[in-house]
Parts: sequence; C-alpha cells; structure tokens
Amino acid sequence: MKSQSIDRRAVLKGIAGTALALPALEAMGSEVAGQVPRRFCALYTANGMSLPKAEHKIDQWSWFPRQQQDGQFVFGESTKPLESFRNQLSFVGGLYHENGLKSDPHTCSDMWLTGAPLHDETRDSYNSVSLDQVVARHTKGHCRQPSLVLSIDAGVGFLSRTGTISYNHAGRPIPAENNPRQVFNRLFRADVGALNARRDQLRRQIKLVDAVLESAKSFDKQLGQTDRQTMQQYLASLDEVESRLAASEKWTDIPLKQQDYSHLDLDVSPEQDPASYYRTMFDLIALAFDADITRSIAFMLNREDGMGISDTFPLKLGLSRTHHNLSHAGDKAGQLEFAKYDRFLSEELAGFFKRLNSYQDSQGTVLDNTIVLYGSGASTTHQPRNLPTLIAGGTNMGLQHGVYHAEGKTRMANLQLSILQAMGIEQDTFADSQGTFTDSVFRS
Amino acid sequence: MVSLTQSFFRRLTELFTLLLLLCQSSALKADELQTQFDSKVLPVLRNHCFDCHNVDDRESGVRLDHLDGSLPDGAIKLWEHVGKQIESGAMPPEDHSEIPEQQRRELLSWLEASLHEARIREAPNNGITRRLTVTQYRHALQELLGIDDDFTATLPDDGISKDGFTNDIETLSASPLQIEAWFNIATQALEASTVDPTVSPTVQNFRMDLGRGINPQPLQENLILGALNRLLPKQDFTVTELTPEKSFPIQAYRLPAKYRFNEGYSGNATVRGWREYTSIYHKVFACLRGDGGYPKGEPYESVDNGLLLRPAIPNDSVWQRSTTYGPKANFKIALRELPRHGRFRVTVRAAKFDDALLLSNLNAEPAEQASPQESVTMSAEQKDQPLVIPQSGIYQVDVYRRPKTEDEKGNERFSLQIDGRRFTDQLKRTPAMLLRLAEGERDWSFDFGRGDAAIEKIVLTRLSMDDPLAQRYETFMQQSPWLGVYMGLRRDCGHTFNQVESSRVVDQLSTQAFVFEGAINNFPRPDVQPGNDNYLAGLREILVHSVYTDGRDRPRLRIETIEFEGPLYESWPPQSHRNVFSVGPEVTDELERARETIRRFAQRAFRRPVDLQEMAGLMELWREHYQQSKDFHASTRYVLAGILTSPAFLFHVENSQSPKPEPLNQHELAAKLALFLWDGPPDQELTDVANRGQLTAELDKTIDRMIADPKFERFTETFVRQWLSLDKFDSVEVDRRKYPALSKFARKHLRQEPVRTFQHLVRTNQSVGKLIQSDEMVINETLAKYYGIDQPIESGPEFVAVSVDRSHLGGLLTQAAIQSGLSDGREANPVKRGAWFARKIIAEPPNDPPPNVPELKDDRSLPLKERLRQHRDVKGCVKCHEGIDPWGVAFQQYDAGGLFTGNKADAKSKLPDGVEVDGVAELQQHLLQNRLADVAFSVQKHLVTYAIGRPLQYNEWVRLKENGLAGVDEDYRLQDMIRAIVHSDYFLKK
Repeated sequence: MKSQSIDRRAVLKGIAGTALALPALEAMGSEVAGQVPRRFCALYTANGMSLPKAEHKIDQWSWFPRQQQDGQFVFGESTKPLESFRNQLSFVGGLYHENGLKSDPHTCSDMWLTGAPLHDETRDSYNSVSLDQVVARHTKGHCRQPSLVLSIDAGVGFLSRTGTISYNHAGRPIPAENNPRQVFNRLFRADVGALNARRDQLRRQIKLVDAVLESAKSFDKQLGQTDRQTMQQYLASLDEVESRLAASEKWTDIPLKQQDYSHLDLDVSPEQDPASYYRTMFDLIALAFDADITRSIAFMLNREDGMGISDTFPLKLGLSRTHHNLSHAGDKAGQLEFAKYDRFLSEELAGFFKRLNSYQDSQGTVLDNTIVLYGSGASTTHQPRNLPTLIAGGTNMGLQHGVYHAEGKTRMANLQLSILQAMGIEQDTFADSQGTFTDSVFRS
Repeated sequence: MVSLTQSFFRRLTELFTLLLLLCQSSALKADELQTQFDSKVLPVLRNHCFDCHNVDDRESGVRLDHLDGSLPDGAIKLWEHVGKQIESGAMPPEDHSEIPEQQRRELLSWLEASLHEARIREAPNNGITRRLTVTQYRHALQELLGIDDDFTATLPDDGISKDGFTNDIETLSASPLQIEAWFNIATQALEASTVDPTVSPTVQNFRMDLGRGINPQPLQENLILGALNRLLPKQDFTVTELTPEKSFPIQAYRLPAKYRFNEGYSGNATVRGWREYTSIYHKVFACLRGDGGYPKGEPYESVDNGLLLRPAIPNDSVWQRSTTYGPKANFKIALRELPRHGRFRVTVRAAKFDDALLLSNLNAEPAEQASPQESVTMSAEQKDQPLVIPQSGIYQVDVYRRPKTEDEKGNERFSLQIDGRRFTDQLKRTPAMLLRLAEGERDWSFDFGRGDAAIEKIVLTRLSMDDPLAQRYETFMQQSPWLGVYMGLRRDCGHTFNQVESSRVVDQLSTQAFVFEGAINNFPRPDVQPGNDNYLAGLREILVHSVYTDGRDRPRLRIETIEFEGPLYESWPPQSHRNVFSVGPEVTDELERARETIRRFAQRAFRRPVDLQEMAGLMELWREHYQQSKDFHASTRYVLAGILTSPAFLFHVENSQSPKPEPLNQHELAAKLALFLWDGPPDQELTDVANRGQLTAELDKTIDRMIADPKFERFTETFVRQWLSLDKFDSVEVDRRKYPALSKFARKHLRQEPVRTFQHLVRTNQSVGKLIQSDEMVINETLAKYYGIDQPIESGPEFVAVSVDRSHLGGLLTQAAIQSGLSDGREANPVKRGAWFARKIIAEPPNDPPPNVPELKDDRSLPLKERLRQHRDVKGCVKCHEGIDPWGVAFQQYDAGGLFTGNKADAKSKLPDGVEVDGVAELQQHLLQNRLADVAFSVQKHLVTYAIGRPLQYNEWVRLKENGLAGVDEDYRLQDMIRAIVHSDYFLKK
C-alpha cells in the first residue's frame, strides 16, 4: 500500500511539471481512478462531555463507557444512538495535548487539531497548522476543493477562542462557513451552466488574478519601509487562489457526480432548530465526500466558553442551562442534563454515519474510506486530560474498531500522526508527537 | 468614602519615581542596560525565579525564563509586575530563599531604569497597510459605484482584536476565501451598476388601491395563501399596472397574464394537477398576516377610502412556544414577480384616521340622561334615516343591549358606521367609545354580530370639554400612527422581512404620500429554482403596518394606496453607470475613452492619484482583453474588476520612507479620517480638499462637517458596539419566564440605546462624565415603557434625548443592553460585569486566566459573595479577581434583564482602589469625583486605538496616560477628544 502511494505521487509530479491541464483522475487512467479515496473528517464539540461523578450514581450517563459485558464495552445512555455502528467506531481514552496542560483552557478548541504551544508568547504565530490542512495539502490534487472548513459560526471569531478549528500552514485561522445554502451553492452548483463558458470565465479570472498579483507585487516593492507583512499575506493568499483556479479549471471537463439532493433543507437556521441544522450540515459533508469534491473536512459543532449561538442549543432543546453552564455543572441534575445534550449530539452523529454508510465507493461505503475524528479539547470544564475522543470509519485504511481504549496516557498528536499515516501521508511527526498510536485502533 | 490622601500620595510617589529616573537613566544606554541585565539581573532571576516560572511550570500563569534585557513592548506589563512582587517582598515566597539585599536593590534599580527607557523609547513607525473591514469595504464599494446593494454577505466576518475592534491591523487577515469573494463581488457589483445604454430599461410599476367595496368586479375564483394569512376580501382592493412617466423611453413591465401551476392547495391540503390561471389577482394578493385576536377593536378594517390598521403588536416569539407574528395587523402585498436588481420605491398614500377611542377596557360610566341639544338616541328601526348631530364636539357612544335570550346566535361584535367611518369592538360594556362628530346630518348604520334586534338603543352624548373623558379623547387624537414599510418573502411557516428605511410619523388627517426606497437585493428574497410549479413557491411580499411602540391607544393608520416602482431610474443611463463609464461616447477614440474611464475610476477607488506605472499596467490588461473581445464595455469592466480587487482599493496604506515618524500626506489623511469618522471612504468634497492640499489647514472645519454628516452615525455604531462589546446583549439567551418584558422586540430597541446615547453626547460635545451618570436619556417610546418611565415621550420609535429624573437611570452603566448583556440571562453576573467594567470603563484590564483553572463548585445555595470569595481564594485566580469582582458587585442592583431592582440586593463592595461603595449611585459618585481622569483615559485609549487601527505601543500608552490629549480639558468633552485625536501625532504621523 505504501509503495503504491509513492508511485502515484512521483507520476503526478511528472505530469504537473509539464501540463497542469489534466486532472489526476483522467491522466492516471482506470487504475488510479479505481483507487478508493481516503478522506478525513474532524468534528469538534466544545466544553467536553458529561462524565458524571460517581456519587451521583448515574454512571450509565457517562460519555466514556463505564461498563463491560462479555468482554465488550457497553454503550452508555449518551452514546447509545451510536450502538449500531459498534464495528465502525472506537472510543479512545487517556488522550491529552501536552501543551493543553499549560495553556488557557479556553483555547483548547484552537489547539485540538494543531497541538500548538499556545502559551508560548515568543512564537511568531499564535497557532500552527491543523491536521485537516495537512491532509488537505496531500489530497487536494485529487479533488475539486482542498478542504471544507465549517463551523456553527461563520468567520474566525476571536483570536483565541476561535470560531474555527482549522489553521493554515502559517498558523492563521481559516474562516469557517456556516450557511448551508452558501456551502451548497459553492460546492454543488459550481458546475451548472455551460462548461465552456465556465472555463473561459476561469481563464479570464486567472489572468485577472495574475495581473492583480503583478501589480500588487510592484505595489509591494513601492511600499518602501512600510510594514509589508500584511501585503505578504495578501500575496500568499492570491497565489493560493491562483492555484485553486488552475486546479478547478482542470476539473471543469469532468461532470459532477449525479446525486440526490432532495433530502437537503438548505433553509435551516441554527437560530431555530439545532437538530435540522446539524442534519443539513452533515448531509452536505456526506454529499461532498460522496461526490469526491473534497477529502478533508473540519466542522466545529459548537464553541468554547459560552460563545456563539450553539451555547443556547441545550435551552432550545428544552434543557435548563446553556452548554457552557452545563459543562460546569457539578450537581446531579446538571450532569444528567449535560449528558442528555451529549446524547443529542450522538443522535446527530449516528445520522451522519448512517448517511456515510448509504453512499458506496468502489470498495466499501464512504464511511469505510473516511476517518472521522469526533471529540473535544476538554474532558469536562477546562480539564485538558482524558480528552473525549471517538474515532470512526476508515476500516479500509486498516482501522480496527469496536474497542474502548481506556488505558494509559497518550499524546493526542500521536493519534493524529497515526491518522495521517493510515491515510498514506508519509510524515514522521505531527505537532508534538512522540510516535504513533500503535495500540488498539491502529494496531497493524 | 473617598481617600483623597491615598490617591494624592500615589501621584506624588509616581512623580518622585519619575524625577529620580530621569536623573538616573539619561546616562545609561540600552546596551549598558543589557550588560547589566546579563551580569546582575539574569543570575538573580535564574537562582530565585526560574524554578517555578519557566516554560513548563508556569506558577500562577507566570513565565520568566524567556525574558532578556531588551524589554520589548509585550513584556513590559510582566516586568512591572515582577518589580512590584519583588519590591513588596511577595516574591520569592516564604518557603524559598530570599534575594540578598544588595542584589535585590541592583535588580530593582536596573528595572526602573529599563522601564523608563522603554517608556520613552520611540517605537519604529513603519507606516501601515491595513485591510478595510467588511463594513468599510461595503461602504467603499457602494459609494464608489453609487449603488445601495450590499454584496458582502459572502465575506467572512472580521476577527476581533483584544480591544474588541475589527479594524485592528493584527486581526485583519486576507485569506484565499476572502480573495475569492472579492473577485466575485467585483464582477457582480460592476454588472449591477452598469447597463446597456442603447436598450431602454424595463420598469415594473403597479398600484394597489384599498377601500371597502372599491372593486366592482372581484375575481370569482378562490385565492389561497396558507396558514396565518387572511386574504383581504377581493372586493376591497384593486390592482392597476402603470407606466411611469420618465424623461427617457422605457418599457413597462406587465405581469404575464397566463400561467399555470401543477401543485396547488385546497384549503390546507396539497393537491396536484395542472391548473391554468389568467387573472393577475393570482399574482398579486392583498392580505393580512398574523394570529387571531387583538386586545381591543379589530386589527384591521376596510373603510370607503382605505384600510385601517392598528399598531402591529409584536409577538413574544419564544421558540417553540409561540408564532412570530402577533395579531393580524400586518398588511401585505404578496406577489410573484418583482425586479431582480436595482433600486425600488414604495409609495404609500396614508393618513391618520379620524378615529374613535374604544372604551371596552376602561371603567367609564354611561352618560346621564341629557337634553336633546346634548344627545341623540337611535335604534335599529332608524337605520335608514339620517342622524342629526345637534352640535359639533366629542361624543360618548352608549350602546344599550337587550338582555340575552336563549336562542341568540352570533358574536358580540358591534360596528358603528358614520359617514364612511367605521368603529368596531366587542360589545362588553356601556359606554362603547368616544368620537368626534361635526354638526348636521350624517349617514349612519350599525351591525351587531347577534343581530341588530339585540340592540335596544344607541345614545350619543356630547361631552363638555372639561370632562375627563373628553380630555382623554383629545390626548388620544394627539397621538399619531407611525408608518413602517418592509420587504421580504413568504415562508410556509411565516415570513422574513427587512424594514425599508425608517418609520415615518403620519400626523395629518388628510392623505399624504410617503416614499420608501431601497436596493431590492438587500432584502430577503426567495430562492426558487426555475420550473418550480407550486402555487405558493417564491412569493415576495411588501408589508405595510402601523408601528407598535408601547401599546398606548393611538388613532389608526389609514392606507389608501400602495405603489411600487422598480428598478428605479432617475436618468438613463443611470448615475451608477455614469460613475463607472464616466466618459461618454463623445470621446470617439476607444483607447482614449478607456484610459480616461479607467484613470478616473482608479483614482476614486484608490483614494489617491494613480501613477503612470499603475496606469500602464491597467491599460495593458485592457488592450489584451479588447483584442479578443472587441467589446469596449466588457474590456473596461474587466479592468475595473481588477481595480476593485487590487490592494490599493482593499487596503488603507500609509506609505513611509523611513523608520522615523513622518506626516501623512493629504490623501492618506483624507482616507484615514474617513475610515475613522465615517467607517468608509472620503466623499468628493473631502477628496477635493485633499487634492487642493488644504486638508491640514482645514482640518477643524472638516471634522465639524464630518461629525454633522449622517455618515458619522456609522462611526458611532461600529465604535460603540465594539468598544462596549454590545454583541453580548445580542447573543444572551434570556430566561423569558423570569424576564417577560425582555422580548425580542424590546431587545431590538434596547440594543440601540448605548450607541444613540454616545452619538448624542459627541454631537453635543458633552463630558465623558455623562457616560457615567446623566439626567438625560436617549430613548424612544418602547424604551420608556421598558424602564417604566411614566413621563410622556412622544417620539414613536425614534430616539430622542429627554430629561429623566430617576437616579438609577441615565448614563451608560445603567442601560439594559449593558447590564443584561453581561448576565447569563438568568441572574446578574458580577464577574462578567466587573471584568467588562475594568476593561472598558477604566482601562485596567485583568490578565488572561491562567492555565489549569480547577473546577469550581457552582453551588447556588451559597450567597453570591461567598461564591465569589471561593472563586477568589483559588490559587491563581485571586490576583485578577480582586481587580474584577468588586466592580461587578456594585451592579448587583440590576437584574439579568438590566433593570434596577431597588436596594434589595447586596451591592456593598470594597472597590479595587480601596473605596467602599454601596450600589451604583455611590460608584457613579466615586467615579465622577475621583476617577474621571481614568474613565477619560479609557475612552481616549479606545478611541485612539480605533482611530489608528492598531493597538497602542507601550510608549504611546504611557504618553496618553500621563499627558492626555492636547485640547482636552478637565471636562473631558467627547467631541474635543475626537478632534484632539485627529490633531495628535498618534493620528497624523505614520
């Protein structure tokens, strides 16, 4: 499996050197076209999960399983909706970010996919690249969009307590999208209309970008002593847009996969109904994977520290406190309600898995070819240890499921490195990893 | 309460230290300090501090092992803290070895000297390149093209800086997503603002006339509009398609008369099957939206010359508990086709109705038997005979009902008609209403739901002018309805609207025209795919209502006609086209025309003259495109799109040649001023002044003009909202069971109060102290009701400054938008309030919370102070919370709804500055008497930061703190501050 991926890259490089115009799919013929995509999906939930105190005697509501039967873990009440996917998922306990122990706990979502030392003020940039963007850099040559960055709130929000979990290679937050209709239009409506017109438009746009790039560069030179950092960033982004346009140009010849969109409700608003909102966003993710529009998606389901609309979701669902307040609850009623919210999220997640299983790749379902990382940057209230983590899918990449790995302490970055390697991305380290996560799920 | 001596002493000590430092340090150079650091300071730190304060162990969140002798700006606060800890002996802690006295003194004296160096250090001032915020970009684009369309929806929100601002150079990014959006927007905006001048425009223009029975040939078929809609009876309105008169030829758009639908409705059931329609009454509906019921009278009622509307009561709109409409008093035109772009105009002809005051919920007595000169008695038998009013005046209407019989059917709705006026209410008691009648013969009639025979008699009795009821009626008729127009779309579960301009008062009994305009694409529109053949798919709506403010009785709004016109062109080609193609075909050489068009456009877009090299690049692009397309307009638009995506348009640039401070040039100054005071680009007048090189000379005159301009309100909106973090109030989920008055509607009004207040104080150049406490409030009728202010405020939904003699109101600190926003929606939160106060009002921000904050017991059974004490007692928390919580405790008198609850709550607090206060009134007194300079500093600090679009460097911070601003005296007047900032080096130097 490993050698195959090297070959493919080498070949690709050759092609890219001469003519960029042909997409990988066509250039490589049926051999590569038949190869199953490998995808990654990160789903973040804020404020941790309910892990009730023993004294309340509601162990069955713990997010991490607390019981065993016939050598298997028993799903708790808050994860029961996921039970039918036992063979496609695992729980991983004992994970932590080394840097999480040292940083403002409210920044744990910023760190979840990056593991960066956010407390270290001597660094040039606040954060470092997130896992989904590392994946995107390797998969973008094979699909229409390098990645999709979604969040419950659009944009980036605050510098720390960011409204996105995705950071580019310079460590800058990538603004997230949250409007289902906009996402849909961008991803699925892009190919509507005459392909030739689209291509003409793209070419002209590339030329325009080129011209703007040229004038911006000479403008930059004129700037003399003026602080040029801002301009550098603009230029880098412009470069990226140009390469995206070049990439999309080669995709214009290939029609978008025919899909059924009839189940989508694009008018949903998180102001009104959290469940329908999540469902639509998950449906969009599943469709995007199925059509191979992108292979890397990050979705921040809710925000840390009582920020944004998601904090009110428990209230909208009839519970008595906000999400952040529930995560702080020490009393029995509060911890039970927190768990009920976890259960709500599990239900949505189960719907997502079901959807992914309903789409077929050439081998297995889309879920079999997608690694889904679901979890939080704190176990409960600002507690950066034993991060609640569920890993699902990816059985075609060698993942083995149905386990609850509870023992020991493992750096999150080790697990993240294992994800990269399972996807065939050859990298020896990620963030502050000290090795791979060789136990259970990734046991080879 | 105050300890003057204490603060005096503090000042004195500071002064001494400063003098001492000036003498000491002048000889010492930075490298000497570095040498001293290496030999004397670092070893001490290493021996005594690094064990606990290193990169891995950050005791109390403090790390020291990365410090060197250079004292960069970012480390100064930390160094000051280190100095305090060592000086006071708090560090090293007791269980660690002490620093020998000699070393300790050397360290402290090095630190003092270094801090002084840092304070006077001129930070390198390397110009600035700052991206326009989304808001600034929107305004720049709109003003450049002369369009109102907002194209920025696809741009992600800007990040927020530590100071709360979105215009901070450090948080303004330019990601690929943004760049893609800029490209798309440029193309769209240019398409929207330009036309093909050779083709005459198509304009849609129609009018709906309203009136009881004015349509003699109403449509016979049924119309259907879905739940919560009530169609106006088809005989009560007509639709006429018009051709507007213009000085240039137009094509009148006509709604296609033939169309068909496959999916329709029968009642509420969906039916399938093609049906053909031919009448435009299936295309344009007159309807009312809302739930049933109205507290008194009918929400709407047709009369001969129009439709009467009572104020549209907003609904609670609690999710999953109630619908979002309120009673049916929202009149709407629902229609299938409207223009897809451009501006539109809705003209409403309306009047204040000569109305009756309904008495059904007032305990008034029936009139006494009066003489025939004073009263008239009628009965059902007299319905066809004229009614003779003996004398003009205010009449009380007593309706006497016969005792109920068993077989009576129908409702108790009673309706009186006099000369085409109609007054309807449930007949609950006698008297029924008051109204004004002129003497002479009147046509009259009445209806009663249970049959006319159930009415025994109706007695009209003239009231003397000193009768309290007559006075009540006079007061009632002095009120006026407010007319609001909205544009949006129908949804199955409701509707979505935005208001078109602001509401207008309708204070005349005679009909007048009210004009509302907007850009159609700024309003919600249905996203319907072509070919959708559902009868109710994609309906757009124009809504007209009488605006609700506080529920008082007011005469009804009578609407007579509603006319729509769009796209709205004042000339052809329109101004927006001429803003782009500013050179007409009179210049026959296309290359020349292109060059001049592009040059003019670029100059306005770049907010400065365009240089030759830039022009050469742009023209090359044009030529290349033109060679292929041979289309002058397309090629030019293409180049202009490039201009709209170039950094010279998207960024504000202050170009400097050296690290030394340099003055801004005139165009940079104009652009910077406009970004500061208008949150957008300079207008032509400002550009002209800059072109003449006179801006520096005419700075004060310019500032005056800019503050008086309506665009200044964009500054107050952005600045105040961000400075005070008002978004917290927008997002707080309020417990509606506890705070029923804090409805979505009330919040919509309350959220404007801080901005309006600040705007008023700046425009009238009042002292910063008025932000702390004031007898004046800037409110409207809705706010007056929310705050329980009983004095009459007659401004409808408009904000006005009024004197309010209530000690717990006035100023910013007592506003619901602030205090409720700083709660969790259930109970007051002194920590949030304290942190906000420390940060925003006196600029003593707490540090970021340390890592590993342990879980707190949230035990609500404990009194608040006990809980706060627990919080503070946790190691690592205490330091900051001591500077936060006490401020917040003083606000305990304000509940999570932001209202004063009296003195029930324990609001006694020993403030971080040592003064004890009990409640907000004493806190306000303390601030005004002893801390006004700090409040002024905070406002100035936030204003300067916002004005220059970057955080203050340390030396600037110190300079501002110590010297204030030239031109601002001890009154600290707000307009003076803004003026002083513009005149200061912070602003004028790059």
